[in-house]
Amino acid sequence: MQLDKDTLLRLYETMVTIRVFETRVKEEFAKGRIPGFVHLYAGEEAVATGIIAHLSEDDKITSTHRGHGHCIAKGCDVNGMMAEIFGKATGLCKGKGGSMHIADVSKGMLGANGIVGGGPPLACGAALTAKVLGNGQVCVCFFGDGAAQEGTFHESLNLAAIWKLPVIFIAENNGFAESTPASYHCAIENIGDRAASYGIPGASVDGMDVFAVYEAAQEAINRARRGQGPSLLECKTYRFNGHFEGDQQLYKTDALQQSMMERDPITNFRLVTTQQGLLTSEELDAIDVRVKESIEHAVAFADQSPYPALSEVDTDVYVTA
Amino acid sequence: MAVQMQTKTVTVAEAINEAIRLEMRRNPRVILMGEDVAGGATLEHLEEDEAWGGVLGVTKGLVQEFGRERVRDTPLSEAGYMGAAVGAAATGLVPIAELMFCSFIGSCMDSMLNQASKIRYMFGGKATIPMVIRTIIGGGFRAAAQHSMVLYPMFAQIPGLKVVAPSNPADAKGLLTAALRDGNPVFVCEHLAMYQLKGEMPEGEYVVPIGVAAVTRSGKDVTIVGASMTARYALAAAEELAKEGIDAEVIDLRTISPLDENTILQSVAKTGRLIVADEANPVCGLATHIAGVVASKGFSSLRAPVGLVTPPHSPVPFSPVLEDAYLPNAEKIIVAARQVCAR
Amino acid sequence: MEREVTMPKLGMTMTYGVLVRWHKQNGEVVAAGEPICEVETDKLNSEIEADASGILTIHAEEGEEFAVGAILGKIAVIEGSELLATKKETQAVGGTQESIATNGIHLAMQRIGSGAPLVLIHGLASSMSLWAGLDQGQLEGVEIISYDLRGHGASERATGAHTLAKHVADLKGLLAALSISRATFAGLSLGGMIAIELAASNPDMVAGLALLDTTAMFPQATRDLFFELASSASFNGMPAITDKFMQLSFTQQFMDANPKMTTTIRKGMLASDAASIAAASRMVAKIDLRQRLSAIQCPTLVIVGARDQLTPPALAEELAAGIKGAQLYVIAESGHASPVEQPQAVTALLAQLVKA
Repeated sequence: MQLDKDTLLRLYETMVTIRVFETRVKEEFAKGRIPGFVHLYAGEEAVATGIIAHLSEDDKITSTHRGHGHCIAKGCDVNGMMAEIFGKATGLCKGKGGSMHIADVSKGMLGANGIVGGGPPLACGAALTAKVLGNGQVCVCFFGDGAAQEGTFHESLNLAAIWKLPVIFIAENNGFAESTPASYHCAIENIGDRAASYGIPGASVDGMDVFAVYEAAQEAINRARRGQGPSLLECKTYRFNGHFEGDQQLYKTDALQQSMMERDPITNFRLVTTQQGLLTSEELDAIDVRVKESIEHAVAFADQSPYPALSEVDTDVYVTA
Repeated sequence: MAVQMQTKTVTVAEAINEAIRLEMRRNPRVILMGEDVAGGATLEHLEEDEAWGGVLGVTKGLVQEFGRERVRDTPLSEAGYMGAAVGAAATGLVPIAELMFCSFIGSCMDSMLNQASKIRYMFGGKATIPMVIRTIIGGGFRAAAQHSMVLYPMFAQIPGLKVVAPSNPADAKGLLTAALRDGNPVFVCEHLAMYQLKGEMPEGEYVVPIGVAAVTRSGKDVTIVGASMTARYALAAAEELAKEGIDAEVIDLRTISPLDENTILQSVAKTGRLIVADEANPVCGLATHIAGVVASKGFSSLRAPVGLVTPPHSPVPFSPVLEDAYLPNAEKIIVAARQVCAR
Repeated sequence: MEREVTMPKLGMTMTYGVLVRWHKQNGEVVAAGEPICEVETDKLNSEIEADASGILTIHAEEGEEFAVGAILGKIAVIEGSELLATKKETQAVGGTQESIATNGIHLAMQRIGSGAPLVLIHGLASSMSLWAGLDQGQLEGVEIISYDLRGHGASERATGAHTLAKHVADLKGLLAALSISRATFAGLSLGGMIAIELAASNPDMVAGLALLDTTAMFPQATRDLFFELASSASFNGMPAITDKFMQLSFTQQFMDANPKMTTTIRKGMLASDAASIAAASRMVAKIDLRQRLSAIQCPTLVIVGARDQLTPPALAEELAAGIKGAQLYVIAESGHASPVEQPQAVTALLAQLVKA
């Protein structure tokens, strides 16, 4: 498909921002400077990028425990993100949520979620609001192959189908639910095929190819906007890191890791666009430099920000009069 | 128990592993299921091995000994497999179902609330549900709101369920073994902070009875009741308080439900003062429940109001400074004890 | 110019690490980038590479714990030299030690002498040093081949489960690499089990069999013990099970009378890879070769130490009874590791077998 230059540059910049961000988080975590747990999105950039490229700031997304990529693609501030991951008062959630609960409702990012399968019902709700208010917005729901076995997945698809909700369900199938392979935990090979059980359109695409994702997403999102209801889009992808940082990844063979890293969505995007003369190396390099600087700045920002005041421990529990 | 058993130094994780292993040998009906309890199911390159042996490696080595018929990885389907465990228990197996983090009860509450706890009663006592639900409780690891809760008050509130919370390796093995022989649905709450803590544990098979608290330090000035991590903080606090001339008696509950009220009441009758330290949220919580029991059954013993050391009524915060402010610790217990003893 | 080899900081909470083993010897030339030693924390193992080419001096002992930053050794740098990390050859009493690549891993092996091949296979948590006491004088005209099982000694660790099939495949691969199509085999404990399986499945390769301190299947209590030791090692590393293994392997009498050797053996055990030993223990617990015994056709000696606790003489009797024509020898004053405690007696029996 033909994409204009601006779109191509945007796609590249989003993917690179996610990659550089996750790489820096990995480094900082290894140094012991990030509390708790982190679940990194490196390798899956094409999915968040290719889909969210179609969304406006008003459109909504729900995310997973592996949410940094979705957050960045949705336009959340990397400084606030990094500060949140470090647990600082200047974080997007004032340091109260951390990596697994990172959110910015003002940007339509309804949160990373520590509960697998927690997102789909929320997404149905967001889509319901859009439908009732008639504002033309959609909600994209990201979840993994593991979540496709949760009851909430099934209930959400059915609910969205019967109410014709403008929600697009994205199954990010990276082949493993923690350490358990999809070949074991999922009764069928293509999660996209489950759409048929709920009477909605479904498809499975190569999640390592941002063009394939972009194209398939466009169709699904347009359908939702036209009032034609929900779709299920499975993106077959792969996480280069473990389920969480510190995971020894015994369930991956070296052969698998190597073959998937050769399908790096960013390197392949660069190859395709430069070979076809769509973009130049200089343009892409310039983006690399700019992104690196911005992420370094984010780390410095997080580093220098203060921790929350202790009095914050039990504020923001309720709305007060 | 007249025989002096041989002991060895192990971690809580190892104690739990051993309890499961010994009971699975003794009783061929015991099975283990949960997310990644072995890990890596059906992957060729792992053959008979496991990828994780549990998210924190607590159940490693079991699939090699007992095979994948008895040690089953499950999909991320809490409602499905926890419910299946109830059905299996009702029909002859003794399942150990692992609920990875206690907050995940949100995905499978029905199986516990409406099925496991009530089937025996509703069927006129003509059914039994012998099963163990092992689950991680507790904070201190910056795992944030959805992975740091202590939900045993919620489980204890439901008639038909039993709930235990060990504070050391010996009790972990003994209580888990007891739970596997109890014949009822029993929640075994394993605190995240405790897995790597070491202690002396007897070798071989033994049980620690459910429903019996332990007086881990004898004293006369104030009773400090704790469970799980707070039972350990209470001991640490008592040592410090002794230097100030306050002689604290420490009770490690070990079982949350059925609660050993007698041990608590006897202690308060002796000391006249009570502190309850608990990591569960306070509203309708364990600490407040115990205060209520003492107020109604031991009022005349009390010479001061009950001191409660609990987190605030809020979700568990992520940021380290906030989480530390949220959690009970030995220092907060010491402050409370001084206050209660000053009156 | 001198470069220091220090204990690295491998993890964010690491303050101490264990020096598991040296891959090089004191005074040996090392190449920049070559792995020279292995260190371990409770979370992971790591290789340390030489950061310069030169002569290594060792300042730290295997099995000991060191603080991050502590000096483990020094490299006296040789400028401008071209060093290739090649197959290491050291002289060991007229023999050569090599590493053979086979069945996807590297096995350390040693050959001494020339003549009729005798292949020695050690047992669980041991290494080819088990056979070091054999009297070569009694074995003239014999080529002695010994090797370290996968995950043991200097052989490569391999992830994943251990199975008897893998161990037998390792052995067959080794023999093929050495162009040996037929030999006499002597195996102790697990080594004996490997030899039994080889003799049953490839009788043409086995001219004679010596089964030392072994069995076709361990009794239930011992199988349970192996699982417990595996679990202990998994959680707490080799230090948690080494004492027990030493007690099971040697008589107290021997250990008291030979403190230096006992210390060396203990250190070797402590330095073993806990994950491999655990996997091997679990494998041993599940082995059942009782149905294989009738397929053994070659002359067979069943040898057992009179005071072997792990595989007592009763098990040896059963084993001998199950193999056609097998002869049973009970060695007095010996525990499970008979080649270590009574090397002369064992050598005599092996010599008898090979020359028959």
